[in-house]
Amino acid sequence: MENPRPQLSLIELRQLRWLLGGLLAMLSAWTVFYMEVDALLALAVITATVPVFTLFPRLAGSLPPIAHRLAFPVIVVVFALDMWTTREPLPAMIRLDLMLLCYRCVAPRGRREDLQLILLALFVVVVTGVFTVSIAFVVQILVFTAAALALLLAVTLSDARSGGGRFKSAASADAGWERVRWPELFVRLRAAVDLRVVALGAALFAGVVALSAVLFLALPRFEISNDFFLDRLITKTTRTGFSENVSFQDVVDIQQDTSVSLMIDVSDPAAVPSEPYWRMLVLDEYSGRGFRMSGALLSSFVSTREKINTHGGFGRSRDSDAIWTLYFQPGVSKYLPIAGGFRRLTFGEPQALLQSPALRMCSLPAEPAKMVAYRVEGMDTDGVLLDREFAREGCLLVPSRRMGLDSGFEAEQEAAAREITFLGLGVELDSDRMLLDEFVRQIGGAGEGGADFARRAGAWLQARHSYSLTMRLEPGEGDPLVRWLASREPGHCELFAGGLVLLARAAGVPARLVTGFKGGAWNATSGSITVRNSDAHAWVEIWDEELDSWLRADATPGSSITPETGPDASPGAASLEQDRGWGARIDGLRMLWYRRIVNFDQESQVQLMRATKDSLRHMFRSAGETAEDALRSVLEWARAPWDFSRFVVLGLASAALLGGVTFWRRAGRAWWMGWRSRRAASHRRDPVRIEASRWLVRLAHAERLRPVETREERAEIDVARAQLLRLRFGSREGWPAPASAFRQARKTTRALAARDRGKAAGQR
Amino acid sequence: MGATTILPAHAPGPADFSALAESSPFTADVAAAGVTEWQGPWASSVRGRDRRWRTLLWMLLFPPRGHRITPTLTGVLLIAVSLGIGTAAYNTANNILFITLSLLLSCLILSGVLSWLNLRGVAWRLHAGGPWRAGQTQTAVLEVRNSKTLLPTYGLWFDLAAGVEAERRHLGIRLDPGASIRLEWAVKATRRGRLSVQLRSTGSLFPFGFLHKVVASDLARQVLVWPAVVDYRLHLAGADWRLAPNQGAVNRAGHGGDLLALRRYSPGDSPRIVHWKASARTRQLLVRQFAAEGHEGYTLHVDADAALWPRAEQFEVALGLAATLAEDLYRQERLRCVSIDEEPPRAVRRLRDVESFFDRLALLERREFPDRGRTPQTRASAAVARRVLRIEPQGVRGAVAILDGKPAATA
Repeated sequence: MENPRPQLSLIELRQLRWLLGGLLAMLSAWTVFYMEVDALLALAVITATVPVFTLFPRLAGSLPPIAHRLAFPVIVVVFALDMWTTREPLPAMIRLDLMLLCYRCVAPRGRREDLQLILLALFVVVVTGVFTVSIAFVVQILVFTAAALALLLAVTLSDARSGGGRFKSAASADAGWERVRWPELFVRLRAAVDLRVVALGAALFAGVVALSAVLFLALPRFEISNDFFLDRLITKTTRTGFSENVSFQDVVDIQQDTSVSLMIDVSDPAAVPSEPYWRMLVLDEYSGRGFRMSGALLSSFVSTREKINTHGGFGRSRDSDAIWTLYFQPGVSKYLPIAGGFRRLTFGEPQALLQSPALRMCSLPAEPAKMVAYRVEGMDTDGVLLDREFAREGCLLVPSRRMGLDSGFEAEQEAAAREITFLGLGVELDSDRMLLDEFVRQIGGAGEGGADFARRAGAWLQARHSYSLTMRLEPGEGDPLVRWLASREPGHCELFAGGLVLLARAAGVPARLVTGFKGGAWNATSGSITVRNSDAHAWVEIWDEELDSWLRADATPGSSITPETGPDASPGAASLEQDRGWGARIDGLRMLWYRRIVNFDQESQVQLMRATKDSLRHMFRSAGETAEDALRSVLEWARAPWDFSRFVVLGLASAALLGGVTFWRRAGRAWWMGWRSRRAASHRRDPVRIEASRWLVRLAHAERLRPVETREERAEIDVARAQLLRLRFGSREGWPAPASAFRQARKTTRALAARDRGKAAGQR
Repeated sequence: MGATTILPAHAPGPADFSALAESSPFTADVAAAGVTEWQGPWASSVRGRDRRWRTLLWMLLFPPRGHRITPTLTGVLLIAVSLGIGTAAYNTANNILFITLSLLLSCLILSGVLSWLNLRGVAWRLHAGGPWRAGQTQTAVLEVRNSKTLLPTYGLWFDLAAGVEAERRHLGIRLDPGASIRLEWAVKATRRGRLSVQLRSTGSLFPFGFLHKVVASDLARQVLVWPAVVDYRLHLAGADWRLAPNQGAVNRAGHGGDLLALRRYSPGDSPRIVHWKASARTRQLLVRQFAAEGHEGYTLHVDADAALWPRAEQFEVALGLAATLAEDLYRQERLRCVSIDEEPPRAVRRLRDVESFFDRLALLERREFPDRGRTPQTRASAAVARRVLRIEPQGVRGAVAILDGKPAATA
């Protein structure tokens, strides 16, 4: 038979491979953009060279042989230098991978080189996905898989075309492949490909994706050692400035960034406070340039010895049922945003943790290179941190022990003082101290306690200063923060918070500066809170003797200075800014990704299985109940007093049922089979022919079991078989009526069986 | 020539369908000799749509004998990458790695499904061709068809073997649905005897080269390889039998000449020369003997006595000489009878008789005749009635055809 569609030649398949290889390399290389790896130079080189070489493969042959000989040694030397200078294995490996990808795309490739290309590309895509945990990874890996499979298919077909993948002979057979004319190739490709097969391939790929999803859910999730080794290969610096040293303007700089820093899933939206504050860092030491966490304060952190999933909490641990799941983006800080005290902190994977119960702070040993998900139970959100030890001692006592090496802090901190009073002004000039005293007098002194002072001082500050992200402070002598307090210049949250700390300490009230995030937007699409870097904020925690607690005080205009109490304190998520629009939908998709994919663990798997079991049980129970109801209705109907009309109804129903069955057996089934037979694409799928085949088998089986004895039986069987054979193999025009042929066959086989039964009965 | 009904895969069986030869749409003319039946990977095991999936699942658990799936280097690489990613996934509980692992495993499964689809509905049969002669190249043909309705078939290879000679033939092009293709294979038989031309296995790397799928085949055709054609030298001294071209063209018995007499029927005589009336009258089978029957005809006699042929190589040369002489004499229409060992001469009247003689030469082996004595030539001469060309050894390697005690041809 003649093939109506053209076949792609070996040269055309080679050109297709070249194109797919280039696409694959570009696709995988560009995923590095999502990573915070300094590989811009390599990316620029790839972006500039690979498309050109892909479109003009003749350039690949124009490279001198010395270039191919030197390529690998040069790349290795560059990698070694990279490792030596940066000391960062993973970024260096990614840059090495990009260099190799680039070389593979500018040099002619055979089967082996195509496989190398796929592996190199896979490495980049997977590592990027692991580090970014971005929902874009799904798109990347799916497109990558499709392109890689297409490339492998082209490799297999060209191997078969060249006679079994003997590369040397293939190289000679496809000589001149680099003289490619892309439009002609695409026309040939379109002509050679059957669109129905392409559609089937797409459906199969969709099946692969579905199967992957099933496998993902079904793969048993037991844990071996849980050691995420990759994050040790990359060292990260805090992108946003949430570190132990916060200079003025740092938080404002963070506010310029509108990217998502934290996504929060809360089990009970009603538990969301009107103004949620996510504490990250407590800073005690003021130096004139900003606040920092003193070495003594750092010593208050206690490290867990082992990596565990669940860590105990501290603080008042309100008996709150709300469960908060926080998805903390990489590149923000190693300090975890938490609203206050909590009962339990659970990570998705075992995690070492540094905790400071006195400060209600939690820190990872190092800044995470990937998104960290953690669940907080029993979390205080009211801005009141009970501290009985501080109330008893009048200061924070910290041990003088040396911090463990895994603490992540510098060794210089070991010489810090043991007592922290949070009263140090850090102001060098006496004039500044006098100014502060004057301001305290204007405010009205320490007053009745921290809360009272915070309210008065906050009001004083808000009366003198308006809010602005830019600070205009005239140059002069003295502490800049005191000079800002003395001025009437507008300021940002750090200045308001820093000013309040200095005023409180000058008044003899312990106070400390806290940085973190304030607020967030409620995403109605996903039912979650989205906190962006632009929500970065600084506020104060001031000591209140009456409550024996640290009380949140926010002097920045637009905020309530002290926490609201009473029933209106937690009006629910509705009080937050509502995030709608396309950005919210994308964030919702990301939240779904975090909830269902990234955070999927053994417990989720068990929950999924339980849910499946419950739904199945519910379904069966519903079906059973429905059947039971129907049976009960019938029985009730039957138990009711009988009269003539009921007999008529019963008779009519029985007659209708009998008539329906008879009609189906006599005509309906034949019509249905004939309709399907006329639509059958081939003989092998024709239901009439298939049914005839079955009856032929049954007839032969019956004949084998019960040998024919009389001439009449033989004639009957021959007639039945002839009709069936004509149905099975004959042309449709010469067919007998299928229904009568099958009836005849049934009658014949039953007659043979009845004869045997009669004989057996006679013998008995 | 005969007709064979090619049955679809789920037909009950060939015995039931003799009445259908004319009406069947699946009827095809196939050469009765030298062609095998169609065979395919699942042609005989899958019956009907109802059993298809059940059978397929069963076959996935317990592949039929000879069906083999082994990973290629690419497949091993994929498995290694999957193991690495799986280890990392379990080590880190990272769901990104679990997704990648799931996708890799799915690709492996997709590869198996596509590989199965590729081979599904594909059938092949073998044309052995002929005649086969030692030292000569013959062409065997493998006919492959794709009976699928939608999907083409790609990248098959076929491991063909003839004796010790084996070759892998690749189907490099796409085989569209409903299409068939003939793959020709040149085979050179090295020695006479039985030769099995067979398709050992069919394989494919389709679609991604991960899996090496092989379907073993028992498709085979036994052919007889006749003795090789040898160069021989004619001897003029004793060769009044030797003819110049176009000289002494003698008609075959029964095709011309005067009727000389009636004689008793001997095996090999054509039924057309049977004299039925005389046979009925005398109650024995009599045939007409024509004048041409006795002219210039020779009997070729081959003796396989191991005492006569102590060396196997020399015996092969002798058989080659006998076959070549028989062929040449037949072309000159001067070969009357052939005989082997002590059997009575068999008349040669048509090409089939010569081919039958070649078939016997192909399988002839040296053997002992313990009760024969030491002068086999004498008994052989007595066994035949006409002019006899006897094949005898010459020297330690050669063979000679002796006519009336004189050498007629040597090889």
